[in-house]
Amino acid sequence: MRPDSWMMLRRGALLILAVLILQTGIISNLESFGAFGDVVLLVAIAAGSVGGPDRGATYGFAAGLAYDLLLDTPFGMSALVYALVGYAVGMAAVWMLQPRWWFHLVTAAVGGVAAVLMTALVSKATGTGYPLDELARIAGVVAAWNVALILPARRVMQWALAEDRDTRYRVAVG
Amino acid sequence: MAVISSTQGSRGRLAVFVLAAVTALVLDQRNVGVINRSREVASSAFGPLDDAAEVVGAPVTDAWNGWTGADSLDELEAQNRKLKDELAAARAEKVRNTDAVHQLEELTKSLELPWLGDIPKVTAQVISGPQSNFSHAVEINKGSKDGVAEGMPAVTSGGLVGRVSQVSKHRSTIELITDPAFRVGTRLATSGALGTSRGQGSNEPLVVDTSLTPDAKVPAGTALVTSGVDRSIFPSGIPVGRVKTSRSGVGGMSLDLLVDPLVDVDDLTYMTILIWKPPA
Repeated sequence: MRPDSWMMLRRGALLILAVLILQTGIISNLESFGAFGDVVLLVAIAAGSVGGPDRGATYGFAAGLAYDLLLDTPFGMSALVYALVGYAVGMAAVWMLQPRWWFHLVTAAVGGVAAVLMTALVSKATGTGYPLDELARIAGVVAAWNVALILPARRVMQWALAEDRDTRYRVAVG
Repeated sequence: MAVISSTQGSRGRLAVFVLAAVTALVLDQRNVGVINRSREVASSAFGPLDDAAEVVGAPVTDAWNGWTGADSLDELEAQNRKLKDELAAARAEKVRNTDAVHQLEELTKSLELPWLGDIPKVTAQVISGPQSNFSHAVEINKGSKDGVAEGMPAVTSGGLVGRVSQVSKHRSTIELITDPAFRVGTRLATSGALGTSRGQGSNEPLVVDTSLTPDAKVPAGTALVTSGVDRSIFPSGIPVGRVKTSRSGVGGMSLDLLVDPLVDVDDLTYMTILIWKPPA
């Protein structure tokens, strides 16, 4: 593996560990309307936004799987949902080529809502249903947190991906 | 062309991730040991980091709760908790008395049923709330070294709280009765009618599927306890809740009861784990 790949791997692992500590130790205690933010999901969204669909799916899967180890929900559920959302956000970012700042806020919000709905679907498939009003509340809070944190999260992800500008720009312009 | 080849490559990788995640889900549904063991190890390793983060983040949490209106004046909170605990204990005692009268009337073989008072217990402190928006579980500071094992009931002076779902050496995860995946066999303390209770999420009543006919009358306030029937994972007689209302079951062939849990699972500080396993 190339030296810069090792550096990205180390930074990625450190980032996921830090985010897990932040989520379980602090964010999960900051409740509003009976729900709290999901910065682990935000890692997947930021990775897709900065690095394209490949990075989004990879970070989503890795962060989601690590998160699943600490939860009592079905193992693999977060990995599946976050990989899909990270990929989708990455595809949206590639399409836009040079998105404006507000585009990142929109994809963060939509990504949050989509993740909550997908999680509910996977839960239903594994035998656990959730009331619709509870889902709406969770989706709203998660989306609000994502919108508030996506811009600084993108900065952190640019550091983790060891890029001085978005990877997808390089891919787009060749 | 560079963009297209990039997205094609990422599609393949996504397919691999999706396949891996679905495989993990299937294995988890089948209770494969390696997943449970991995979770135990992760929980043990991550626990101290989680504790440290909670200590560091305490000022932020307090400021947030103050700002959002969830005030945490220590003295008032402690008094409120004490009063709630006393009230819950009094309500549970009333439910147990109702159940005791019914048991005598039915002439059951009570010597073969475990009496709650003789069951060894471990008291634990709740150290962490739900870690995700889709989790209805809390973490306690007792684990396998204290005799706690998966499946053991968790109670407070008010009644049933849930069951132990994951155990590591020093901590355990408690699946709460409000979790949509939680199931417990119950019976009405007055008539003895059996049913299965399941959660519907936070701040929602439990739903009890009974075998009663849709026209059966179950008054509001009727007490519900664990049934302890054959191979139940809970001993008999633990207070669960009180009937709030009833409705027709799926297909209109039975009666469903909506039950308010006796324990406020959003306000847990301590709980007791019953060191109990179902009779073989």
